[in-house]
Amino acid sequence: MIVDKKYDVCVIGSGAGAGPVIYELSKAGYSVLVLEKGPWYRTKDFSKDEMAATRRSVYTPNLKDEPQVIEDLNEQGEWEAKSTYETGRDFWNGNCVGGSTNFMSGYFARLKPVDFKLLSTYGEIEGANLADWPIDYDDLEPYYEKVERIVGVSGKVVPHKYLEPRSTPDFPYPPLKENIVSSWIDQAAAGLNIQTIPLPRAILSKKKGDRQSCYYSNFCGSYGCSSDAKGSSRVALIHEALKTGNCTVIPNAKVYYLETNGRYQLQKAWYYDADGQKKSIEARVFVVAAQAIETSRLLLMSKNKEFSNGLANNNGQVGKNLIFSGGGVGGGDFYYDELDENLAKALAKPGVFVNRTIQDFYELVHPKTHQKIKGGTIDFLFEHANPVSKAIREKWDEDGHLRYGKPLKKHLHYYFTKLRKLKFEIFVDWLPNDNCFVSLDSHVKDKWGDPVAKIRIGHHPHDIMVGEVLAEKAKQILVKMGAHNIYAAISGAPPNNLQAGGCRFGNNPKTSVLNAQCQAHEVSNLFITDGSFMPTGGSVTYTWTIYANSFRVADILKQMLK
Amino acid sequence: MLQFPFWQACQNTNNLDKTSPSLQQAILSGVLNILFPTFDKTPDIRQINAVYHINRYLTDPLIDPDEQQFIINGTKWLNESAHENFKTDFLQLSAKKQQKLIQIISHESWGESWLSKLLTLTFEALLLDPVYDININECGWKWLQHLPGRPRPDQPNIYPDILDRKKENIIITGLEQL
Repeated sequence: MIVDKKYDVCVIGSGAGAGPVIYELSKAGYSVLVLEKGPWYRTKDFSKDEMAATRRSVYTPNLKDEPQVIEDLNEQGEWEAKSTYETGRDFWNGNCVGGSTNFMSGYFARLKPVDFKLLSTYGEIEGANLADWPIDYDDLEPYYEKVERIVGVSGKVVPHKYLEPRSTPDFPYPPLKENIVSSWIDQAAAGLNIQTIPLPRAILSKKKGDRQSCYYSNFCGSYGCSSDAKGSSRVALIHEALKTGNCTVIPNAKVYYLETNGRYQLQKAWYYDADGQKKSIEARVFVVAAQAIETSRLLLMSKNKEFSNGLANNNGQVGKNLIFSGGGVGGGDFYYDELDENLAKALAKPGVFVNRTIQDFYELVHPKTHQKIKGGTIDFLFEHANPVSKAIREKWDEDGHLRYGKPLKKHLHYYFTKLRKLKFEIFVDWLPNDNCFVSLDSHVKDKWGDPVAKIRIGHHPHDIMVGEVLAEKAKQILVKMGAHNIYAAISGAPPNNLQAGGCRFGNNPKTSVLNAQCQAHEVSNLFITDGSFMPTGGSVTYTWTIYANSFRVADILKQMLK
Repeated sequence: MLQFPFWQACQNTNNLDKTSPSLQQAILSGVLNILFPTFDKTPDIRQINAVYHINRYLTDPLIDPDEQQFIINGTKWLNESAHENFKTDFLQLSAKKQQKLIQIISHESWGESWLSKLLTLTFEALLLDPVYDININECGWKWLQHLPGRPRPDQPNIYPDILDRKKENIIITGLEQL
C-alpha cells in the first residue's frame, strides 16, 4: 500500500469535528485524505449486540494496548495518577470511521448567545480560567442551520425564555415519536410553572437520500444505527464525500507525529498502518480532529527544534483548560401496578423516545450573592434498555451489600417487569481551571511505544453548586409525577464522552493555541476542528456545536485553498 | 452444552498448586449455584450456560490476564476460607455451611470483588444474545420479559470476530469498496 500523492488536505480523525471539513472540501473539488485510527465499520456490521457495544473493547481500544493515565484527587487530597489499564476507567469513545458520532444518542442543542460571552456577561469566578469566545453566536448560526439540513436534526421549535435566535422557523425534520411519559412530564412541569421543550435529536424522522428514517429500535445510544437515521459523520458526511471521488480514507491509521519543514509549516503526518508500519503523507493543509484529549496528545508528541514543547505549543497552552460537561444524573421509578392497564402498557412501550428538555434555568440567581450566574439544562430520558448493564446496577442493595441468591433473582424479576425508570441528566458548564489538563505521561506507553495522555480531571466547586440547583428542579418534577425512589447524583466526575478544550481559540496568541479561524497561531497550515477549540462549553452537549464549527472552518479553508 | 477443559492454560501453577483445575471448576459451579440458585422455574446456571461463558472469558486473549487470574485465584482463596472457618474443603461443606461461607467472604474485600465479578459474568450469560451459546433459548430474556433490539447479532459481526476489521490494511476511495 503506497500513498505518494500530495493531498490538498489531510484530516486526522473522522468524527464530528472532521466530517464537515471532509464533506465540504471534497465537494469543492479538493483532494482530501482522512487518517482514522480505528477500522471502518459499515452499517451492516452493526447490530443490537450488548456484548460488542458495551461489554468488551470493540469500538474502543483494548486498555492493555492503549491505556491512558488519569490523575485524580485521592482521599488525602493529593493528585494521584493511575493507568486506565489498572482502573478500567478511560476516555476513549468510538474509535472507528465516524468516531463517536456512530454511537451518540444525538441529543442536540445549540449554544446560546450568552455562552460565547461567559466572562463578560457574568464576570470572573475565582479559580476559573473563563474567556469569551473570539466569535459570536451570529457567526455560528448559519452553520447550526446547515447541520440541521445536512446531518439531519429532528424536532420542533417552541418559543421559550432562552430560545436562541434562528434563521429558519423550524427544524427540517419533524419530531420523533414519543412515549406517553413525555406528556406526563409536560403536565407536571406546567404545574410547577416550568416550561418543557421538545428535545431536538440528530436522528431522521423521515427518509433523506440513502438514509432511512428511525425505526425505534430501543437501542440507540452506545449502538451503531442500522437504518442510518442517526446523523453520524460516517453516513451523513463521509459517504457523501466518497461519492465525489475526491476523498480517500485510510482506516486503522494511527497518526503519531506531525512534521514541520523548519519554517513553521506542517509538511507531513506520520502514522502507523494496520500492520504497525510507519508511513507518512504530505498535504498542503492539516486538520486535526482526534477528539480533545488525543488531539492535545498528538500536538504534545510532535516536538522538534521549532517546537520543543510540542507543536504550536511555544506558549505552553496545548492541553490546558480541558473541559467536560458538568452536572450529573438522577431519576425515579414508575410502578406499572399503580397505573391503569392501558397506561402501564403505554409506559412500557419500547423504542419511542422521551425527548423532553428544560432550559428555564439556563440562568440562575446565586443562592448567596444573589447575582446572576449561568445555569444549565435538564434532559429527561428512560433508563437504557441494555439488560446486562441494568442487572449490574441492581447488584447492590440499599445498604451497599451484594445481592445474591433468591433475593437477587426476585429483585431482578421485579426490577425488569414491574417498573420503568425515568432518568434525567443535568448539563452545566465545566469551568476551565488549572487542574484540568492533558499532558504526556512519562512512564506509561501505548502498544506502539509512544507516551500516553495523562489527564488531570479537577473540577471547580461552582459546577457542583449549579448542578445541585438544577437537580432539585428535576426532582420536583418527578415528585409531581408520582415517581418513587427519586434520586440525584451530581458530582465532579467527568463524563468520558463529552470532552472539549485543550487547544482553545482566542485573539491573544499568548493565551490561546488557535485564532478565531481555528488555525494555529504558530502554524498557518494547521487547523483543529474537534471540540478542542472551545474555551467554555455551554450547558448542553457539544456535538452540534462541533459539527457547526467544522462547517465554519471548512468555508475558511475553501477560501484559503483557492 | 459446551464445556471447555482449559483452566489449566490460565493457571499460574506456582500459586495454585493445591487446587486442581477440576476442583476449581467444581468450586466455581458450586458458588454460581449459590449466587444464582434454581427455584420456581427461573433460569438456572446450567440453562444459561454460565460455566461455559466464564471458561470462555478465562481464555479470551483480549481480556486482562490479571482479571482472569483473579477469578481462578478466588476458588483457591474460597477453599482456604473454608479451611479457616470450617476445617474442610468448600465442596465437603453442607449446603448451609457453603451459604454461610459465601456470606462471610461477601463482607471481605477480595470476596466481595470476586463474587461481584462472578455475578457480572452470570448476568452476561443470562442476558446477552444466544448467538454466544448462552441465554439458551432466550430463557433469560423470557424470564425478565426483555425484548432484544434488531437486527440481532450474527456472524461475522459478533465478538471477537468483528475485531478482524481492526486488522485491515486498506485504502477506501469509493463507497463501492464498502
